[in-house]
Amino acid sequence: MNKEKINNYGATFKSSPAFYITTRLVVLFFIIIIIFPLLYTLSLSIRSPETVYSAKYFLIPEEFSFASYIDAFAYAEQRLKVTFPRMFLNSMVVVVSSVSLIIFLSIFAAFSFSHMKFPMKESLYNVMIASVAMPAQVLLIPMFYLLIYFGIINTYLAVILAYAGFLIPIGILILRMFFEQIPYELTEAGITDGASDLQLLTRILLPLAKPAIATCIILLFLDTWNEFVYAMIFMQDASIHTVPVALAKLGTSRYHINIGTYSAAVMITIIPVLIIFGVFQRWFIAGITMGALKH
Amino acid sequence: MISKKFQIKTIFYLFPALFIFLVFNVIPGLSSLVLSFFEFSGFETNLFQKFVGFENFVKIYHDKYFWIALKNTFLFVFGAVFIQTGIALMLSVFIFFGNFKYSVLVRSIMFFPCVLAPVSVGLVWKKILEQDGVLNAILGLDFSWLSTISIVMWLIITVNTWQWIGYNLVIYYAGLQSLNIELLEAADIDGANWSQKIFSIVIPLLWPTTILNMILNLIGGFRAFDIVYVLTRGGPAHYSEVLASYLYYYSFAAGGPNKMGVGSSVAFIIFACILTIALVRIIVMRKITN
Amino acid sequence: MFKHFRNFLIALLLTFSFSSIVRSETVINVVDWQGGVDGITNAYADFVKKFEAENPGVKVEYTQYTVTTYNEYLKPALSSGHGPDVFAVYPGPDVDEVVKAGHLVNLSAEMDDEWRTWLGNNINIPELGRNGNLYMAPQDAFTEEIWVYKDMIADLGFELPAFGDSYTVDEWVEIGKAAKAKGLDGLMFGPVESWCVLDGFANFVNQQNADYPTDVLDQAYDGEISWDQPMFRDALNAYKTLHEAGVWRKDSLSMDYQVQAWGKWIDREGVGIYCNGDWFISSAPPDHNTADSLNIYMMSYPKISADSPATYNKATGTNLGVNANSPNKDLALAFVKLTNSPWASSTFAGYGQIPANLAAVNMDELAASPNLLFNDGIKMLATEGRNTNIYYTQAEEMKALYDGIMEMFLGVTTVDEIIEKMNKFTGFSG
Repeated sequence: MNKEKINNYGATFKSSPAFYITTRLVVLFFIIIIIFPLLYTLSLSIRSPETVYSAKYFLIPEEFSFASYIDAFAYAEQRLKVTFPRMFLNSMVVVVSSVSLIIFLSIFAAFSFSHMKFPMKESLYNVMIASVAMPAQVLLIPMFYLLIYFGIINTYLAVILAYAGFLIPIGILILRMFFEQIPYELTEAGITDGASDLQLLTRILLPLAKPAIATCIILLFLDTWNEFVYAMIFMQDASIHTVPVALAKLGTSRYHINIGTYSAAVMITIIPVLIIFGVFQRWFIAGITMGALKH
Repeated sequence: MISKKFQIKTIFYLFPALFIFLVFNVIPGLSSLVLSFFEFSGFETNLFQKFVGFENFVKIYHDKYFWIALKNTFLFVFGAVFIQTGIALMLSVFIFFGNFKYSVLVRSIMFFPCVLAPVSVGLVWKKILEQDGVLNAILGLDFSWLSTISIVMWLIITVNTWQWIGYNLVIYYAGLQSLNIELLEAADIDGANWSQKIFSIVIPLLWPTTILNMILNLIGGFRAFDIVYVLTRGGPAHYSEVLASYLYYYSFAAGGPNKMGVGSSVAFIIFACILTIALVRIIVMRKITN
Repeated sequence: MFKHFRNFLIALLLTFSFSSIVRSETVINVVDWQGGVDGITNAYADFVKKFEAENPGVKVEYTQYTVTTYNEYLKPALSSGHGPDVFAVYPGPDVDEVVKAGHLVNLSAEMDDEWRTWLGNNINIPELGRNGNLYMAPQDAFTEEIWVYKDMIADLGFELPAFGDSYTVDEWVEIGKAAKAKGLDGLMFGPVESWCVLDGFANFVNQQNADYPTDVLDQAYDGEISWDQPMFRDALNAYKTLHEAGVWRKDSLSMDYQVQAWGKWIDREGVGIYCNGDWFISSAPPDHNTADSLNIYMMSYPKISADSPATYNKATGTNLGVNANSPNKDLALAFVKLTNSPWASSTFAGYGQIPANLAAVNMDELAASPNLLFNDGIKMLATEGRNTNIYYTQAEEMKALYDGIMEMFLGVTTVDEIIEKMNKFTGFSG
C-alpha cells in the first residue's frame, strides 16, 4: 500500500485540529464497536463454568479456564452429532469442490465469450449479469425439488451444484473482463504460430490470468464458505453439516447449553477464520478491491 | 476474436457452464412462477396435483404479515444502501485523510467481520441484545431490544451494517487511492478548510465508488436471510420478517403453514422486485448517458 | 489439463457414491423429531437392541432430528418416494397431509388383537388417525403443564397448591411481582413456538367449557360457533393479564421454548416454566431430582378463577407410522408393534419417559420408580380432571389466533379485535 500517497493526502488536512480530533474519535468509536462483541464472546468462553454467570457483564474474567471449550467439543459431538473438525471438513469439501468446479467451467466459458463468436452472445451475457442480482432464496423451492428429482438431496453434490448454478455468472464476468484486457497481439502471435484454441487458452491466456483467478477464488470462497440457506435445507444429515448450519443448530437444539459453552462454540468457528484472514489479509483485500472495480 | 464466424467447437467451451447455469439457476428461477400457481405441502410425490391459479397471490395480498415483510425488506435495503454506504464513506474519508499511522491495521480490523459467517455474527449479537445481555448492563436498562417492534428492524440493520461496513470501506479505499491529489492541493492554495475540501471535492469525486457500493449493498440487502433467521427468526410475531424469511416460514418452518405454493409466490415477488429495480436502473442509466 | 479433468471427475464420483453406500443386510430406518430428549434416545436404543436380537439379519438405524428442522428432512424423503420405513410426523395438521399424500399404512387394518389390547383407548386418538383409522402409533405421553422450583416458591413466601391443583391467574400475578423483586422471572415463556401459546389458550377455554366434553375450540376453529363468548374472551384476558403484569419478561416474545425458555429455567432465572411437558422428565436438572429429594413441582395451567375445574393438557408425544412404500413393511410393522408393548412401556418408564400405552401396564408399579419426578408424572397423568385436546388440524385458523394473541402482547391489537377477526376468519356467520 502506497504509504507515500497517504501521508501526502494527510498533509492537506494537517492544519485543522478540529478535523484531527473528530477523525480520531470517530474511528476509535467504530473500532471499539467492531471489536467489543468478539472480545466479549471470547471473554465469556474462557471463564471457568462457575463464574460465567456471576460476573456476566465484565470483560475480564475472574477465573480463567478452558473448560467451556472442552464442553463445546463434547456438545458438538454428542448433541449436534457432528464434531468440530468434521464440520470444518464438510465446509472445506463443499467450498473447494464448488469453487474448483466454478472456476474450471468459467475459464472455458469466459474464453468463448471473449474470443469466440456465437449467436445471442451478448444477450446471454446480460442474462448472466442480471442473475447475479437475484437472491438465492428465489430459487429455493424449485431447486429443492429439482435436487430431490435428481436424487442428490442430502449429499455434498446437491449444494455444490446449487452454488455452481448461481456463482458461475460471477466467474464468467470476472474472467471475461480479464481475458478481454489481454492485448490481442499475444493471441495473434499464438494463432500465427499455429496454436489450437485450447493451446491459446492454456499457454497464453491462463498464465496471464492468475490475478483474475485469484480474485475469483477469494470472492467465491467468501460466498460459499458462509452460505447458510442452501446448506441448511439441502443437507439434512448431521454428519455433512457445514459450519454455519451446525452453528445455527446450536442456537435451536433442544439440549440446554450454557452461555460459556455457547460462546466457546462460536469462538471455535471464528478463530480459524480469523487466523486465515490474518495471514492472507493482503490477498483478501486486494481480491475484493479488484473484483469490485471490475463490476 | 479468433475467427470471424461462429464455429461449432465454441459450444464445447461454453456448454458445460451454460448447462449448469440453465439447470441450476434459470430453470428454477422460472419455475418459481409456475409453482406459485399450485398448492402443495411438500409431502406429496406429485407437486402439481392441486392447481389454484392466482389464489396464492390473493392470499398473500390479504396477509398483513406479507406487507410487513415487504416493508421490512425495503427498510433493510434502504438501511444497507444509504446508511451503510454513508457511514462507510465517512469512515473511509476520516481514515484516509486523518493521517493515521496504522491505517492499514484499522482497515483490516474493520474488514474482518466480513469473513465471518452471518450465523456467527447473529449468535454473538443475539446474546448481547438479550434482555439480560451485556448491552442492557452497560446502559443500565432492562429493555427488551429484540422484542420491541418499533426498533427490532433497525437493530437488524445495525448488526448487518456492523458486519459489512468493512467491505464498503475497502472499496472506498481503493477509490480514494486513485484520487487526483492536485485538486486538493489547489484547494489548499485557495484557502479551503477541511469541510469544504471534503464536501466539495472528495465526495463528488468519489461518486462512482459510492454508486458501486450502493449497488453491492442493494444486492446484499435482498439476500439478508441468515441474520434475520438467527437474530429473531422473524419475530416477535413476524414483525421482523423479510421476504426471504417469510418465504421460509411459509414453506418449511415447523408448525408453520407448510404451504409451499405460497412460498413460491413470495419468491416470485422477490424476483419481480429485483427485475423492476434492474429495469429502472437500466432506464436511468440510458437517460444519464443521453 | 485433461489429467486434472479426469481427477476431478473421479473426485466427483467418489463424493457422489460416498453418500449412497450399499448394504447387504436388511435395514429398517426409523426417524423421529425427538432429538434432545434423552429418555427417548435411551429407550429406543433398547428397542433396537431387542428387535435386532429377535430378528437376526436385520439392522435398525434410528436417527433423531430436531423438531424445528424435521420437516426439511421429511419432505424430501417422502416426496422422493424413498422415505424411511418408520417415521414420526409432527402432530397436528401434518399428520393429515401425510396421510392424504398416501405415505402411511393404515394401522387399524394391519394390527392384530394383541396390539389392539396394548393400545387400549389410544386407538381412538383423533389426531393420530383419519376417518376413524389409526395411522400413527403413540409412543410416549405427557401432561403439558407448568413446573416450578419448590425452594423458590417457598423463598417468595407462597404455599404450593395441592397435587393436581394449580395457581390462579391472580396468584401468578402476585408470584410474578415477588419474583421480580428478587431479580427473577415468575414464568419462563417461549411463545415463538406457537403451540406454547395455543395449548395454554385451549386449556383456559376448556376450563370454562360448559359443554365439556364437546370440543368447543374445534367447533370455533371450524366456524360453527362464535368466538364472541365469555369462555374465549376470558381466555384471552387471562393471557393479557399475565403478560401485562410481567409474570414473564417482555423479551419472551423473542424466545423459543426449547432453547431459551427451558434453558433459562434450567439456569434458575425463573420460578416456573410455562408450557413444559413431562417429555422433559429425563432432562430435568439432576440436582433437583435426586433419589432422596424432589425440588420440582408439577401443576397445570393457571386457573382463570379459584373455582375453575381441574383441566389438564394430556397428550401423546412422538408417534410412529409405517411408510406405505416401504420394502420391508412387515418388519417395520413388527418394530412399531414392539414399541407399543408392555415391555416397551416399562423400558420407557425406566428412562424417565412416560409411556403412552398404559392399558396393559401396572400403573402402581410404574409410579414406584427411583425417579421421583417420573413418579409425579405418572400420578399427574392418572389424575382425574378435564382433558384438553391440543392437536388441532385447522392450521390457518390456529395461525390467525396465534398471530392475534402475539399482537395483543405487543399492544398492537385488543381482545375485541381478535374476537372479531377470528369470527371473520373462520367464516362464522351469525
